[in-house]
Amino acid sequence: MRTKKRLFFTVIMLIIVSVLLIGKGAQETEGPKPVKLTFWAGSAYYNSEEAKRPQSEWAITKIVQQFEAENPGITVEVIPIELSSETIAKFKAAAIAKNGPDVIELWTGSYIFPLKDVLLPLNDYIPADDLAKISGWDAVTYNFEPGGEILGYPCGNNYAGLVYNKALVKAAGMDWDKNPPRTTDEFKAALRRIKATGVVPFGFDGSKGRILHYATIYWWVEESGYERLVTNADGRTKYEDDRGFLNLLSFMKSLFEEGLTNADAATSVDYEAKFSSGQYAVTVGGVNNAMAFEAALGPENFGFLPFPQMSAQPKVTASIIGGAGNCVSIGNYTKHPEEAVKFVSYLASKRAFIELTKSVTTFPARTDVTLEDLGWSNDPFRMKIYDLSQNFAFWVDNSIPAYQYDEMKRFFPIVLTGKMTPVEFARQMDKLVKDKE
Amino acid sequence: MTRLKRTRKELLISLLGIAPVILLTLAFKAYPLGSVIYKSMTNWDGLFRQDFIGLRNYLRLFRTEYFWKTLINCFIILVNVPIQIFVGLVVSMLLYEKTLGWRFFRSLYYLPQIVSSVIVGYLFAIFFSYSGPVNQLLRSIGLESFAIEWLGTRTTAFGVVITALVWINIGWQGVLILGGLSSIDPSVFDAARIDGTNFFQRTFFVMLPMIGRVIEYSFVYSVAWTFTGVFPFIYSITNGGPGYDTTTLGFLVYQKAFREDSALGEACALAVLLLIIVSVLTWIQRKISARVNEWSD
Repeated sequence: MRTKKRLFFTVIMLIIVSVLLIGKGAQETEGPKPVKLTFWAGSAYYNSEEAKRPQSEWAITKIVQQFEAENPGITVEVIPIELSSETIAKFKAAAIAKNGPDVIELWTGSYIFPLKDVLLPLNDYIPADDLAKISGWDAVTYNFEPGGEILGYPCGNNYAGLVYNKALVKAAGMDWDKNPPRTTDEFKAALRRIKATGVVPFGFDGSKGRILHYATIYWWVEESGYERLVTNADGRTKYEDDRGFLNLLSFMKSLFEEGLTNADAATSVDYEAKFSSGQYAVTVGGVNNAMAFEAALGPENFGFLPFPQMSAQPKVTASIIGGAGNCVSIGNYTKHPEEAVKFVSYLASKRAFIELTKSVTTFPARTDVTLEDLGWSNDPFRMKIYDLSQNFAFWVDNSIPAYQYDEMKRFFPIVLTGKMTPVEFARQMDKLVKDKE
Repeated sequence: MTRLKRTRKELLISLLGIAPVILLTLAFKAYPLGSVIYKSMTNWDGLFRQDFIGLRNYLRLFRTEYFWKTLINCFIILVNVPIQIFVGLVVSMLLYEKTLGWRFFRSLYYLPQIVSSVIVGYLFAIFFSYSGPVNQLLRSIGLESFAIEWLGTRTTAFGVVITALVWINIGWQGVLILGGLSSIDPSVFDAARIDGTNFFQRTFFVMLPMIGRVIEYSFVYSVAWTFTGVFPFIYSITNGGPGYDTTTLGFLVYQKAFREDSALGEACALAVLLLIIVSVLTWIQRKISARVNEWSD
């Protein structure tokens, strides 16, 4: 009986040991667990033309496939998004539930700072080579403070200025290639000459507050400088006393009053279509929409005009506005931070940027990518932008708090059409800042 | 088993029977409502910041000009309610009287109701844009001075929004009132005719009192809808502009909540205020219509 019992326990023990060994062996042969990353990709990674084709044909899909091939065990699911305030709200909800994407494209500066609590600080993860060769780190550093937490990798630089129809400008007896207007007074005089030919000189889009913020708001920062933007925003100084802010509004208002803009500047939604069809001589434009303008007007008729100088004593001496407006960030809830950083670093690699630039229109956020690398060395427009981008003013909307910028978008059309004076609006901005306190 | 015990057992079974419904109601109605009321007293940013700040959100809103302006805007948009009921009444009467082609028009009038509100909104925005079909038509018939920027001023922008609201609701109002008319015994109208009443007398002294409850329902529902359901129209036609000129409380909730640096605490406070306003208005309307129905009886 005892022998039988002993035999029974021995068999049981043998079975347990075998199972454990098999289990261990199986674990060893499995290797590292596969990692799956999700990536919410916005306009910096695919364009509207690509969106009409199957996702398998997009440039970002090819880049992801290359990454997966070079990093066995890591797969990436690309989920295309339209980057908007609604998308950010969705991201917030997903992030607090800890089931958001591992990697997400966001806007930089004041847009990304409120999301700090759900983003992974990348300071300890970023390879030194990336820090050295990628531009725009200040746009993703918390509160723009040197040495602060880095909340994302800059991706794609867009730049904007004024774009014009060369044929219409020529018809008014001017050649801006040879003799562009250098001050806003000269610019205004040139617009008057265009108006005399029966064409709308300057086409604005006021529907979503894009009249000023997108590009022409540059004139504010030219006169006032970034420090003033910050002190206005936190209430240390007043918008009411900000000469740059008031001058910008007065200048734009004067253009409308003189009939130098489209009559529906406050509400129009079709400025791009009208500029493309030759109904407007000048409008605002950036790298992102210039390709479409160029295709519509023909390269011979499409021109880019740096901002004429408004201020007699400018604090910012650039002539275009732009920079790293978008970035890719990693959620701090991700279970795979190392792999996510590896992927983001890959997206920001020279090779990936060159591949991406075939489909998206932004400039690479790298200092070691040349126009030759991108095949743009014979492209006069991009060469010009590339030269001008060596000295640019950073996006104003990414530099001030979103609630203040929202108010500007909302009221610029009213100021433009003269229903509110620039000073009244500046006072309203000061009240808004005070109420927020 | 005593009678008392049996009654207790029946009560217990009944309670168990309705427990799932009560639990579901608590989970899907009471909890979110309680949560919104609590969050309206915090500085919630949609993430982890959620400090209790008492009534500060409410007080801040009451101090702002835009809150009062958006509240007034809601009452201005209420103009659409009597208009849509009146138009719906006319349509339903034409259908009831079986006017020529009534079967075709019955379907046609309901058509706007099945189109997405945002699509309707965008269509109106395009129609009334500066270079849109309405202005083109006005220019082509020599009314150049009437070809204005419809969405650029408060009065005309409201006009466009209200027109869209009336247009989309004609079908719903028509069907609802037609349902009320159909429930009236035709002999009532026959008797009125024999008594020598004309069309207007029959309408105002026979028909309207008999469909009073239907109109009351339509009124109460439409007022509540105007406060809470016009969001897609404002979003797609005016985006609340110019300035805050056509922003409603419901739209402001969205703007506060879905801004890049979302002020969800304030958005919750606005939502609570909206709930209170709609509840009070509904209560007042019900009181008034109860009194009116008493008089009619």
